[in-house]
Amino acid sequence: MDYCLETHLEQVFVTDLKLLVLRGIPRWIPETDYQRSIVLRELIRRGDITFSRRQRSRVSKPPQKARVHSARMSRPSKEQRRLPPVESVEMTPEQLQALLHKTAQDAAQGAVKALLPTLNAVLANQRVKPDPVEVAPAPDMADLEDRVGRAVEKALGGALVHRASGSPSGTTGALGPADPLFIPTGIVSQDPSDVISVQSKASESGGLGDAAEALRKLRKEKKS
Amino acid sequence: MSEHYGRGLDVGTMNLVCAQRTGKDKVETSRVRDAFLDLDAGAKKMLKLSGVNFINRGEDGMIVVGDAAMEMANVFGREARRPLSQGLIAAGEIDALDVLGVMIKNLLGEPKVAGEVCYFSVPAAPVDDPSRDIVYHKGVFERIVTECGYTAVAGNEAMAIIYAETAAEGFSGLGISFGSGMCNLAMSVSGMEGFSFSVARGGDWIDAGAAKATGSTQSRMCALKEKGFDLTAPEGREQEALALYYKALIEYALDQTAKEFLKIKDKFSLPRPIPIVVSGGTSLAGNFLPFFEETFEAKRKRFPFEISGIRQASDPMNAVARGLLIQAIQDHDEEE
Repeated sequence: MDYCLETHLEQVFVTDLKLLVLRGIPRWIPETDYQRSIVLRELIRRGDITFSRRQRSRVSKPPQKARVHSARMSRPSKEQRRLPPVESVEMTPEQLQALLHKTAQDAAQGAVKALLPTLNAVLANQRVKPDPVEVAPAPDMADLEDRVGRAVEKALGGALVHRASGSPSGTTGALGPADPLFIPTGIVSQDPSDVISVQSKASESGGLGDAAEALRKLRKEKKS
Repeated sequence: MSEHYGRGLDVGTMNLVCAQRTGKDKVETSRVRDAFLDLDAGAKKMLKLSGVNFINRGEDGMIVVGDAAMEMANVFGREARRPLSQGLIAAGEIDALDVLGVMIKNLLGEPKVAGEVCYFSVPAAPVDDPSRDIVYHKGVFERIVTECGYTAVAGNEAMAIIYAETAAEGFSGLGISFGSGMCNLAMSVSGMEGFSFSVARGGDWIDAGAAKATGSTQSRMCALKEKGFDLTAPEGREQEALALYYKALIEYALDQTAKEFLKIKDKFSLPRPIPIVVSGGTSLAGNFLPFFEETFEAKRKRFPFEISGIRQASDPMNAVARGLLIQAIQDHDEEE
């Protein structure tokens, strides 16, 4: 049984599975992936990703066709009419993901190029020692962040409009790969003298075995 | 062997409870108070004389654990420390980890077979406090149970109530665990979890709020509560304040339930009305059930799904541990 993941957002990245879910494109994952991904379950809990559990159809399907607008809002201009019609490109989700990855890489390189003059100027300003008498105007560091931001935005264009869904304010803030989780070992002491008193009470099981049996049957029915 | 197989461990802010089968129709539940007190080495003689079990930490002094810690805290005029706060263990509480290790080792005992399955309870992520992280909490208890020689499996606390109490309804219901640190809620239809969440309010929140409102102390409010009073007929200001906070907690839990249901209502269908099962130490207050019903009735019209009835778990203190044990037994039967 596989899990089908879908999202109503533009794109959601499941960090620990390294899986990108795009709107309108269902992604299939095995149950084991679902079980081990804490981030995915959190995204499902928040409603960023919806999932359904069903048998995946192994029959190959034609890729989704690009949406064609049935009516134009205005007449195309003469120049537009002279241009050859744009052919719709049919892509599989894997191709789309690869394209997105490449676009992001190109955009990042563009951003670095766009930033170089600004950073060089800042470095040059730092190297020049100020005249002890006449204090040189300090390099305009205040809006540096804004300028960097604008340059990155300009270079990135619309390639990465939406951030991944694991928002820092949520519980998944501490789940990203940047935050490794340290759990110490040797918590349980092996010292046999560490004995404490425990209150125990025996009682009738109250249908415990029957409940376990009913649960087993229910789960078996669901599996079959 | 299968009649004795499996353990259910309820990890609560106030109590740790373990359930195991001791025969075909017998269940044994063991409990230890989730509290400890660190004392200087000088107190050793006194502890030995009073026959209290303690953990000797050499030069670092001694640690008294469980109910004895609460009693000793009164003797020494101190507050007992609690390894868990608001239902979760805090990262960096190294003393608490050692204490939890000893408590759980004593509760579980040796596994009957190597790798025997032990389900332990984990709260759902709190909806009203996203800063609280259940991942570390879960990891710590997984490690402790594993180090005790068991195969550790995490189970949702509120779903455990569903498994323990709603077999007759085909494991459909809304389970609410009113704990000391938080309230855990889960809705299930035919054993399938619709949603689960927790709110970072519980018995401690009631005590703190009522103490602030009446100028009293939290421990006094807790003692008043544990002594028992009728929620439907409170006497005096302190009891009235407690009843007010009880009502606020129930209303808050129901409001959050409605909100969570609305998030999934398009993806989840409820074929028939389901029962509400309330459980947990905080639900042991006098006349809690009629008080809950009364509060719910005021909200029934606007509640987004139909409720067939409201009842209290048959054994509110042990329902979670029993539900976890059911899952452990079921896992074992399935393997066989």
